Order: sequence, then structure tokens, then C-alpha cells
Amino acid sequence: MKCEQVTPYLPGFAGGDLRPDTRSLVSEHLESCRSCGAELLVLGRVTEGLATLAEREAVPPPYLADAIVEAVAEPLPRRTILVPPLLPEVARAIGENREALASAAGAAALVAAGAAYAFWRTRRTRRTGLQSGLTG
Amino acid sequence: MQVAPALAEACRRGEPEAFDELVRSTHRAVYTLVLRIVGDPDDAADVTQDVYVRAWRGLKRFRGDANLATWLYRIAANTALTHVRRRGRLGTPTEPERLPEIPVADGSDRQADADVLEQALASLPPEHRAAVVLKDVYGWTCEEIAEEMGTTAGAVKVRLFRARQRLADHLSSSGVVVPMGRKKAAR
Repeated sequence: MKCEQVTPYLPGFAGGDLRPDTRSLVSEHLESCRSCGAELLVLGRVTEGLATLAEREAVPPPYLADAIVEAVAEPLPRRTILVPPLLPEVARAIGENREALASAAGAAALVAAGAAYAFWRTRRTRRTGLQSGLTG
Repeated sequence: MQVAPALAEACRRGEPEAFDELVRSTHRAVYTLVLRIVGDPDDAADVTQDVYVRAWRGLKRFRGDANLATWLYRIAANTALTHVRRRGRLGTPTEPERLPEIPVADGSDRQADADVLEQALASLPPEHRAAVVLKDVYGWTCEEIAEEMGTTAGAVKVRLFRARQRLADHLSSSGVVVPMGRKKAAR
């Protein structure tokens, strides 16, 4: 194998992440290539160096622990639905004329039902006429 | 990072005092992991706070036989990766403005390498940085990383290999190591 073919696998070789067959091909090349061997040396220092970082800890801001404890103690935010308040005048009018409003709502419902029935009848009649015109 | 079994059990029962103790004994390690992935100290502090809020709310789902430290690390990695992705989508710079805070070196070669690497990590693309940090610093498997990243183990390996190569280049160019007769890989 040529160096160009081997070098992309050197980072994986250094970390022991290659499949056994690929690993043996790279190993074979490394036995006779000083250049790739030198490259592997640096990559080995990278993986070794990174492993030592696990022992190190960064210094968090001094307020962090308290801020976390406070955040955890906070109750879950409740979902609120914003409803615009009724105007006082409207509310009072509704309260005073409740019976009249109920009658008006009933009458409106009856008118709406009648209108819907009339509309349905009109459409049905027209469709029946069209069908009889086509067939006749 | 170690969590005593008694403390883990008390946390699982939802005892606030126990969770308080858990925060104080582990937040430094969690912050370090998050900082290594997100790269920015201010963001890392915010993300660490989110990690514990998520952990507290999800304690009921935590199985008693699992390791609480590992569970916490997984939440930390997941929250940090979500943050990095969201930051990328919003178009804000992915490169940190400041480098992570690093303890003072003791002068040894190993320590010098570690110092250079810690700084070089900050220059990697976030997804590459996350892969190499979780694999080479924290010892996760490629499959575990892939699960957290929502990708395949193969894709993780590609990021990992590129990250290692870039870190090696950085180590060489910093003068910490002088490779002999080195050839540039065709990438």
C-alpha cells in the first residue's frame, strides 16, 4: 500500500478504532515506512494527551452551583392562556338581560337551521334537475 | 466523577437536599464536559444549569441499577450537542471567543501536550470536537456517541479521525513535537 492510501487510517490506528483487516494492512505498511511511523507517533501523543484531559477540570464560575440549585427549586412554568377581560359594561348588560339574550340566541339558532335547510333543498332540487336533464 | 450509591438513591427518591449535594459535588465535572463541547464559558454555564434542571425533572425515569454519573454525563452531552446545533442554525459563530480555562501546566511533556491539545480543541468544528472529546477524553464508544449525535457510528469515526488529524497538525505546528519526514495526507 502507498502512503496516500494509509494516512487517512492513521488517526483510527492510533486510537485502536480500525477493523482487524484494515489494521493489519496499516501495520504491514508501517513496518517499512518511517514517514508514516513518524506521523503515527504524533497521533499517538494526541490520543494519549487527550486521555490525560479526563483528569483535568475547568473552573466554573463561582455562582454556578447556587444558580443551579435555585433553578432546580423553581416550579415548572405553567401554561397560561391569555383571555381578554370582558368590558364591564358588556358584562353588566349580559347579567341584566340574561333571559332576553337566551331567547334571542334560541331564535337565532332556529333562523340559522331554517336557512341551512332551505339552502340544502335548493341545491338538491337543482342537482336533481340537472341529472334529469342529462339523462332525459 | 463518582456518585455514592446512597446519594444516587436519595436523589432518585426526589430528596431536594440530596440533589443539592449532587449538584455541588458534580457540577465542576459536568461543566468541564459541557465547556469542552460548546467551547464558550458563558454558554457552558447556562448549558450546565439546563443539564441539572433536566436531570431533576427526569429523575423518575432514572433506573436505580444504572450509574447516576454516567446518566448525568449523557444528559450533559445531549444538552451541549443540542446547544451547539441550535447555535449553528441561528448562524451565530461556532468558534469560541475565549478559550476554556486551563489549569497551570507542571512542565512535563505530557502536560505540555495536554495544554496544547486543550486549546487546540477549541479550534475544531463543534461536531468534530464533540466526537473527539467524548471518545478520547471520556472513553465513550462510537456507537454511544452516534446515539447522542443522532448519526451513525461510521459518521462519528469520520469526524473523530479528522479531529485527531487536525489536533496532530496543531501539535506539530506548535513546536511541541517535531515529526520526521512527515507527509501531508490527501484529505
